[in-house]
Amino acid sequence: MSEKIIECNNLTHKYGDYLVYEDLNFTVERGRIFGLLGKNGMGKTTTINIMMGFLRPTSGSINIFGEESHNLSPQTRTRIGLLHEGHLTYDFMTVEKAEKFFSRFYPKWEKKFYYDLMDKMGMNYDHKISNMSCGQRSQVVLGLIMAQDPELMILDDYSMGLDAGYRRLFIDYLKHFVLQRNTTVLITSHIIQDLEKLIDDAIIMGYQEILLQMNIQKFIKSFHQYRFNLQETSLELHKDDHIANFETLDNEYCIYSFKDEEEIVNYINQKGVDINKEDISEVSMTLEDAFIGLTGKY
Amino acid sequence: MYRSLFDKEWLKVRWVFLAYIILTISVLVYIASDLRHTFEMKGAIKNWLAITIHHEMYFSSLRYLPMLGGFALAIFQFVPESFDNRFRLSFHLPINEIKLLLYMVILGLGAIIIVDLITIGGFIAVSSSFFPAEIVSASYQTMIPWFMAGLVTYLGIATAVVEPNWYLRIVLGLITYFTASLYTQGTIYMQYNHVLATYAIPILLLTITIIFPGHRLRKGAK
Amino acid sequence: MNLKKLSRYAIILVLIISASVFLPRFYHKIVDKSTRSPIIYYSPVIENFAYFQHTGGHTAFKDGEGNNYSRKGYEKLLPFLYYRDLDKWGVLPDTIQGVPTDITSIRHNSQRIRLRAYNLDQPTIDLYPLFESQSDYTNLSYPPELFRINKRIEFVTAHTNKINEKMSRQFTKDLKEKGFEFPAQLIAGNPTTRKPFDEGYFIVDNEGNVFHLKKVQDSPQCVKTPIDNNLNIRKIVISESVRREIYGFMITESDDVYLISYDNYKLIKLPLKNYNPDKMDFSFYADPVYRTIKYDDNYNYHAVVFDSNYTFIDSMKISLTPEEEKLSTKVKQALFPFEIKTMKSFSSLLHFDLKFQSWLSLIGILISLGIGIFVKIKRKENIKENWFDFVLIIGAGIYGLLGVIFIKPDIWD
Repeated sequence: MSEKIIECNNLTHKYGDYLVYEDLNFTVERGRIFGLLGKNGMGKTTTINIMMGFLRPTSGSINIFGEESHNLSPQTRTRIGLLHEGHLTYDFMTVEKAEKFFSRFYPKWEKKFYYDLMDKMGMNYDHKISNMSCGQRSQVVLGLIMAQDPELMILDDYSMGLDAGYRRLFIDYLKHFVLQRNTTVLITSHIIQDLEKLIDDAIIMGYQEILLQMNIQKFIKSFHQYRFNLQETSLELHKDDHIANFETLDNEYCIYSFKDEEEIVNYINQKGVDINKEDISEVSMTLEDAFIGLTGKY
Repeated sequence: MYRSLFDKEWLKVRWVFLAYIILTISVLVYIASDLRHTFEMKGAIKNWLAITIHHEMYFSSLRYLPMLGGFALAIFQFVPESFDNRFRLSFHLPINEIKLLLYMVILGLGAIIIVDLITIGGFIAVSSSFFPAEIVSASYQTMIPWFMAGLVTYLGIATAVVEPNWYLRIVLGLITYFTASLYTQGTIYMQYNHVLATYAIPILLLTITIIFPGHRLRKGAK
Repeated sequence: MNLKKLSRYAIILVLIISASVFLPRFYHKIVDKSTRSPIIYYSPVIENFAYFQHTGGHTAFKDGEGNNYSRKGYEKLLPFLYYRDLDKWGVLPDTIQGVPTDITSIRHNSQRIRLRAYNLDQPTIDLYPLFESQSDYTNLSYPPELFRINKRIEFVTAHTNKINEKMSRQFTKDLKEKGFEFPAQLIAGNPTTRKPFDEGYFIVDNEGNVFHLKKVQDSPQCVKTPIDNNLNIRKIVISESVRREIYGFMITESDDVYLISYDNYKLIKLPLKNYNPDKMDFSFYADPVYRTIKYDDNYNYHAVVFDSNYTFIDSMKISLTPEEEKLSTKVKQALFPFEIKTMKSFSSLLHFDLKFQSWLSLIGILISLGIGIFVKIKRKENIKENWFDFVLIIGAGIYGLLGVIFIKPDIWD
């Protein structure tokens, strides 16, 4: 069994009386690339804030390298690279000054990673960060995290404000780097589709709970979308162990499920609706489709 | 590590630090030219007597300057960190956050004390050419509480800026305002001399006040 | 206690300090009423005291027996004071007690010298102008230099900001010849041109001897006075008057007051009861017949009257309601357990005096404590972790309460 880098134990958080979630549990193991996915308002940012140590949970804890996340020792912090929402960095520094600043804090600092990236972008070293575009800044921040060579990267919404080109650039570099260094990554993004090629596992957060924690390939393979029409009869559907989610529009039905086609046919038949395998068509899904299928559109 | 933090603080405050020095020098130049003018118009002895008998303060334009400087330095040093949650960057650095905050405060205090020394030095140079030692020394002694007001303002405003909650920030701002105003009440020369040590107590207390809002910010208090 | 807790208490302490300066000040701004200080004189007409007192809206004019007067009637009691009004009304008598009362002679035979308590601790910049005492001109004018006394007497010329060596040597030599021991303990003069003539300076040397220094025709004129050098003189006030009866007066460390007469510096000791120069304003007033000494601490107003030979005639004391007995003071004591006073009416200096109120403060402390407990329970604060908050409320009453309520404790770890 591989080493647990992040352990989330019975995590509960409330803002005043408003409960975000209760008794959340998950673990991230070494060398895995984790996507923390969830629609807005499901507590993704709260979890990230707790994980980064900027919020104390109401109860429970997230342990990183065995230490409570909001009480990490300075030594442990050197092992963690953070990308803050909005590619937060010291805007008032130049490319070179930012590198110099952070280099003194990290014993394993490799400025090559940083300057390679800057050179690729043709970035002038005395360019001030506050004068950069979002895309350029994201590369600076990524370069800084790579140069730190951390064992764990926590990347909060790396895609914010980036166009398709920069998103691709970011993911490509990141993937290349983490595979080479066996870095553990926990990443969130608004744009699910980009993550398909990057992440190994996904944690999908729903309302006050974790909907799913699973290997991403396994998820795409085992999660199905079935569509069928019913002309005369109507079918009452509820979420249960067969039906992860469903949509109906007049007499068109759409079911999301981890079960195979035959089990779904049996399930519907048991409900007293006569349906054959031929009546049902399975629609192939991207990660984004699957994500929306699981969490719902609303 | 500390070298990096020093560079960072310097990057943030260098222009305001320079502006503060330039402003100080400008005020000193103004005081010198004003003295030259009144000496010429009213005669030297009248000016001397206005000071020795009526305690007229020819340097009163310096009264609120340290407070202004302390305020500006606190704003320029801490607002870029508070803005956009940028303190998160510092708090993730492998350094104890209390040490980090205190180090920032020490650098700010250092900057203020440098300007204070420039002010006193420049002031002594200017007034020595117009006045005998008794007036010069009475004058800079009179200014000491004003410098203390600058320290109070810097420390108090820094604490208020770091505080994440707006309501508490205003309370801290008010505390700072009232405390600083204790040091600028003087109307005659050397009025604080015998109580300077006691007046240093709030300043000593204020050197550690930044830790509490820092802790609150770090732990996500609202 | 960890640094984070300590930091919070530092904030609260700063709050307590500034609140204990400003809240009582604010309270006074709201409740203070005028103190109605009486102004007392001695009437040569009725040979008794006469005084007036503003009492909310109108002014009461009275004599020492308690009789009431109109304003005109009152002014008629004091012709040496209100001679201009009396003259206007045509009722100024020709003589009073055998003394002619024409305006010029009244004016020439009146003198007033004041010493306020705050003059005693006023910081000084020790540079003094020495006037020409026998000038060819009637009006006094400022000399071009100021003098200081350290190991010698030095004159610094203002427009060059340099020492006038010739003059410094000349005066030092003269002082030494008269037996002056440098440095000086006290230098007293009346550095104004608004006086009829100049009497120079009274200087106490290192051995306690009093010297009288003047500049006459640009040369020093120094007299070693016969004043006892064991008097421990604290303050000398000089005030030139054409009466030429006294140079002024002096106060010793034992709070005795002596007039310094022109008659070979003979001292006249004034028998004043309960005079405390540190807390009382003092005035000397001479009219053609009497000498009146007044001193007050804003609550007790004393007046002592002497004849021209300083033989005691009468004395009077009017006491106002003491601050402690006023309702507003009692409310203040209940409200505020202590107060930090930075300014005092009888001092020029700024202070930082912690003044505890009285047992009445217990009321405020108990109420504060009650509110504190209520708020903390309502907020579900960890009372065990923050027990020191209650120590602050007990110690600092309402200030402590404001502190611990505004600056809420956080979760510590």
